[in-house]
Amino acid sequence: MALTKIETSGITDAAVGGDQISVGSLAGANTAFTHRNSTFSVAQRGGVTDHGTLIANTTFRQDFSTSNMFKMTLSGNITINNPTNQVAGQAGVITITNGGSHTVSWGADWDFAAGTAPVITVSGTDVLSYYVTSANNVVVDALQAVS
Amino acid sequence: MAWALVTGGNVTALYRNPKGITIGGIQHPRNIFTQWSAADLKAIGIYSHDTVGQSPDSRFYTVSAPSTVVDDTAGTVVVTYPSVDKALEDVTEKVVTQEAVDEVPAVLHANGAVDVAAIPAVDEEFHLNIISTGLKSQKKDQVKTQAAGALQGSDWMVIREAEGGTAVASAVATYRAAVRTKSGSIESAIDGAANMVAFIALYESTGTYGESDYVEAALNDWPTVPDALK
Repeated sequence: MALTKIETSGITDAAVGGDQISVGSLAGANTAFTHRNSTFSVAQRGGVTDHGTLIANTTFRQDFSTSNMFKMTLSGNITINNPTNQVAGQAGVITITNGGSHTVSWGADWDFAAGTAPVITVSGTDVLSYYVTSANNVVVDALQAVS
Repeated sequence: MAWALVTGGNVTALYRNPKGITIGGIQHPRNIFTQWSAADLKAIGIYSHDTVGQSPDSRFYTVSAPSTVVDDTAGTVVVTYPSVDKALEDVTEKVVTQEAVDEVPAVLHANGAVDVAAIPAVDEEFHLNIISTGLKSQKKDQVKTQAAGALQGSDWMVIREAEGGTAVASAVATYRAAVRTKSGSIESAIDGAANMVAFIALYESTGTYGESDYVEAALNDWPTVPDALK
């Protein structure tokens, strides 16, 4: 079966070759394209980067190119520095489980309501949602004491 | 409890209550003030901040300019407000009049300063005595005013008796005499205060109010007003 070009700058006859794939299987309802609106008929799950248990005076930064979701457990006071690979439009959550009354300090790129870093719930779990509005600006909102 | 942000050995911010802060590009939540150790706080430049003598009793003391001591080793900032006793006694200052300067040139030095020692040699009409009343005089004036106020309410009874009317009730007469006696004894106590400690003691009651061990402060221990004057 001869193939036709299915998208501009997309897969071409030459790239696919032979009769390995049909036009219908790529352009049909079950194919997602990054530049098209898509409706998923099953759940989509993002990977969660687990930073594990962080001891006192841990200072680290997240790589936003690795995933959208992050989680960590505190066993001491830590500092979350500015994440790398910030690209406007990325959103996700950071789940922080506090093993005591530990504190989290933040790099300057993190933006909070009223400009004040949140007090992480003592012996509890907070879910912080973030959205990268622009490079060096990550807006954070905290859903605290989740149980 | 208060905290100071110390930068380069100087206090650059004062925190009387915990608050979220940004230091060196790192945003810290407010609970670092209560959860972090003193050493951890000191590591980011936050020292404990204490004041000494900030609010002395203004009835007896004046406060001069504070001094601040930053201890980088201990991680502390102590601000001390030196207090100075107000004068107990009256202070008389002689002020030379222009007339004295004109007639006795020695009173005025070439640099414009007044030679106080030369003042006694000057006729009294050539100087003024400026009296700054001390705490004792001020308080005695208040005591006199209090006594006058206590007597004022029954003055009309005394006048009525003096003009041939009804005699002053004995309870009232006794009260009036007691007020005058107490006024005198309080003023004597004020004069007898040898120093500021003794003077302050006149203001202080002892024991528990309402209990048998309670002793009213000397300055407040006025006679009880009789029913006839209530």
